[in-house]
Amino acid sequence: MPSLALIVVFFIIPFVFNAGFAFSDWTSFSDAIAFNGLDNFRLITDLGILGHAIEVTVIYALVVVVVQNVVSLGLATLLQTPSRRTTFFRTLFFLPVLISPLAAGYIWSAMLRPNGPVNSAISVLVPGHFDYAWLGNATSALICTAAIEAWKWSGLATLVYVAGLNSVPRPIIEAATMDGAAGWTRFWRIKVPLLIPAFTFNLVIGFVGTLSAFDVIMATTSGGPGNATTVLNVALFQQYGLGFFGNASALSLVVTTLVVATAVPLVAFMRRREVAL
Amino acid sequence: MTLTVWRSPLDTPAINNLYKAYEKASGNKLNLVSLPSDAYEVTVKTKFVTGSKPDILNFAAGVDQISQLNPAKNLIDLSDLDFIKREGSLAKSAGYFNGHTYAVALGPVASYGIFYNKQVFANAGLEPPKTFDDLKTVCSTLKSKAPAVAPIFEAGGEGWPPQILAGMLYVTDANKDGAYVASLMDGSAKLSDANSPLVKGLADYAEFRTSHCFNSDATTAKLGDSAKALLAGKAAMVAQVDSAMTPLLADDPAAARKIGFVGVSASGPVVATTPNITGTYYAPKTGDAIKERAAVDFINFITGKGYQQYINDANAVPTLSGVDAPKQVGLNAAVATALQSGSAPTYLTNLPASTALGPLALQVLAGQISPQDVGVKMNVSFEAAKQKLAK
Repeated sequence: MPSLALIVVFFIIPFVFNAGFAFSDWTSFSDAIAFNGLDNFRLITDLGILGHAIEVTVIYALVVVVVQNVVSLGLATLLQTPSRRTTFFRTLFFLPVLISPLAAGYIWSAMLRPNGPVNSAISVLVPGHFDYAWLGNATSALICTAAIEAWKWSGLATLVYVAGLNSVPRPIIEAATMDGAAGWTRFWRIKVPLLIPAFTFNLVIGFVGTLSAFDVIMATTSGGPGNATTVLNVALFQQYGLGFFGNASALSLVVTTLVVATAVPLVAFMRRREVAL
Repeated sequence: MTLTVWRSPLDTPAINNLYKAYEKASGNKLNLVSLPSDAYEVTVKTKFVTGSKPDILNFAAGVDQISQLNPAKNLIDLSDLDFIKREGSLAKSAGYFNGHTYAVALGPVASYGIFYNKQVFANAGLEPPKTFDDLKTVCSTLKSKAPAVAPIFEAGGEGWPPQILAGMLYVTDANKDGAYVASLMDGSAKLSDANSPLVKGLADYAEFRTSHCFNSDATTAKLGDSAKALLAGKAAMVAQVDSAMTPLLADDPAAARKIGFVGVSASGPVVATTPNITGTYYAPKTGDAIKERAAVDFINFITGKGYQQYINDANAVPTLSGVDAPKQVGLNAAVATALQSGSAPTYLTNLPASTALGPLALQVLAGQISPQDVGVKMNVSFEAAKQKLAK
């Protein structure tokens, strides 16, 4: 019962209010709030905000999910066997999870400056002075911010994959080995199907979480250069700052809809592929 | 009695002295609450929306900001106070909305123009710019005579600086006596007109970008970088506001010798001015009549008995008549001289939804949007705000 009350107070009521305000002309310019149908959605579409923000958000989420899961699965495979060395590296790779997203963003924005440590390191390896503005180009800024988000959460995904790999029964692996299955075959044919629950968790949490991305982007690019990394929540923040609360609520409703519309089919799809032992 | 003051953490020592002087003179205590400077206006608006108000509010003076506080309902009308006559025309632009003045701007006013490196200009045989055409000439001359120098340093990583050169300075001379805003408000002109000052200024700004007049890291550089580059002679010019730039430049004791300041607009040397948040005060309606009267007394003190000392402490050009102006030195003297050559309140101070310009200027700097499209989008936001304000 208390948990139900918490859900109602902190989720259901704000959601219902937000959904209502998305269809109202609420701004900070006037106290009067009236129903205005789809005007807010029309306005943010006319301003070119909605379509662009959805596109950037989806690309951002896809890059995060791909980078995060490829890196984490690789790391988990290397760190699967418990030992002092793997424990050390598991802890090391988990550290970014404990850092505040804002701090992570500020650290990386300093690292990626044209005269920052990343370019200095590259300058050692390549001839000439390398001073590329990683966060100053639309494409590289989007990839870099997504990579920072992936870096931030990869340690957690790695632990989930390590747990998944360790739950694969050894007799099955041993039997496959005796049957002549090579390392890649064992991984692809046995471990991957049995890792589906771990994939489900990491893909859904990763994808749905990054649809709500905000803090890392604000700390690195604030949505720039121009609007290249203006995801839905950054656009929402900008509309709120302009005093167009109805527009901000409309964008918030889009985020919620996108999360639900993505998470439910994704979970259902992944659940169908889980293998019972 | 204790009065709560919401203030910007950017407050100067002169302001702190003024608070102490008021406490001493009145016997009241001031509970100074510093709100985060990052998103200060958003924080104040959010608190007002939720019904939370201080007794005294330190806040921006622009119509775009104050109109969002619903002034008729939430702020005490200061139009009948003694300082209004001494504030002159500023009383009709600072904290002014629908025929009422809700704020006092003690000064100094913020002055927007071009900071330039004198040595770089002298080496290239250049005169300080006065118009946007001059900026183009300076850019092309420097590119041939001093290719290592960035003609204009832009700090797009900071968010707000690009709008100064992109959408503010060019328009300043068109808004003398508030003419441009008046034409927008009565509908005789639109921000999206192809020949509007906004679009023409943005077109020049886009040309600076395509002509490589900006530093190579223009989209990511920060304000501090621009001051360093200017002092080091790695950049020739920075379009900035004195309140943000002067403290950064003053880190170098020789700054006044190295750096100059001029007003630049479409057709002549006009400095764009706007009241600073620092020194701009409102008295919100809190429902507590005694504290509301005390808040008005606070306004009377800071504009009356306490004003001369404040101006002396701030070493500022006074905005209210009847006090002696301290002699300006260093970079402040350069700004004061430029102001004497010509100044006008920036149109952005009195334009509803003007804050839409910031993100759009960043897009022009990144080459993602045309000047005409910025005009169209600014107009959409402006009309939506105007419509709501009329209700």
